[in-house]
Amino acid sequence: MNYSTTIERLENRLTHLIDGMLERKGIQVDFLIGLNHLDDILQKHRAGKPIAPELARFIAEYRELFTAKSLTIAQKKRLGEILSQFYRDLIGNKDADSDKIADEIKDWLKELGDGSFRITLKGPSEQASLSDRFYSMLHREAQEINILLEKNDHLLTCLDDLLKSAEAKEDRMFEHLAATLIYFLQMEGYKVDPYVKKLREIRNKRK
Amino acid sequence: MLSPEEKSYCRALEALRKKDYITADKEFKACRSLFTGSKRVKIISEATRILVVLQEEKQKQKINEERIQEAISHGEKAIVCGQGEQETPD
Repeated sequence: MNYSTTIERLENRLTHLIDGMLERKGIQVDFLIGLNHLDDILQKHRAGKPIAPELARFIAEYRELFTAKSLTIAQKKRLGEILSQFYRDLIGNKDADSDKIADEIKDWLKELGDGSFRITLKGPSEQASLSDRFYSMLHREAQEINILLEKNDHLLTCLDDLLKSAEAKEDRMFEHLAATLIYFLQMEGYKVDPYVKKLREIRNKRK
Repeated sequence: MLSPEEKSYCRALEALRKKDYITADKEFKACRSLFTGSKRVKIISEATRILVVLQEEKQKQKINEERIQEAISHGEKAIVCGQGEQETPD
């Protein structure tokens, strides 16, 4: 047997060994690969980037694969935790894409179920509860402030940006966050009259 | 959220599925601290490392063979053109 043949044989055997190990751990490997993709999407989401199409693709690709029967309790819990985070964030958005994905996540979470994770889902009227929506908004606001503080040094500059967003975008979260920030700055002794005036103008335009 | 080591392990498995052993080897190296006690992970990551070495060896051999073929073909050309005769003793 010459040198090349020896290398070739060894390579084949090792490839077989690896393929065999991956096959034996089939769903476990699928789960880890899928979970990592979902985590990538979550990180993108936290960085303020749009994720709706990517998340929709993920659901389409993995929903049939990751079921209550195919996953262990620990896997269901881990997947459920990340899906719940997306659900809480998306349910507060007021666009059709987010609503559709949130509904799909809700159904998936229900299927995985077994009480292995906790989440308050939509009620029978298909409306998220008031507390759910409030929690979701606070959660999104915390993310928004993180993003703003990355590019701005002071909360007043953040407030300027927020008021611009509140004026330009339909999402009421910006309005709510601007109001919260104004109130906080006032408590800290800042003069906030011009900001209050600006926010009032934005609100009046909406009406 | 997954830790960087966990993410590396997941990426290593994904690379193995795609038979991209070089990437898998790099990712296994990045998550070595996570699996110090796991024999299964040790076996699979060592097998991947050896596969990468073998692939590099094969690549070297291929380059050598190409060089030899090139040299032979140049030699043949030289003989056909009559240059080879000048190099022979006598």
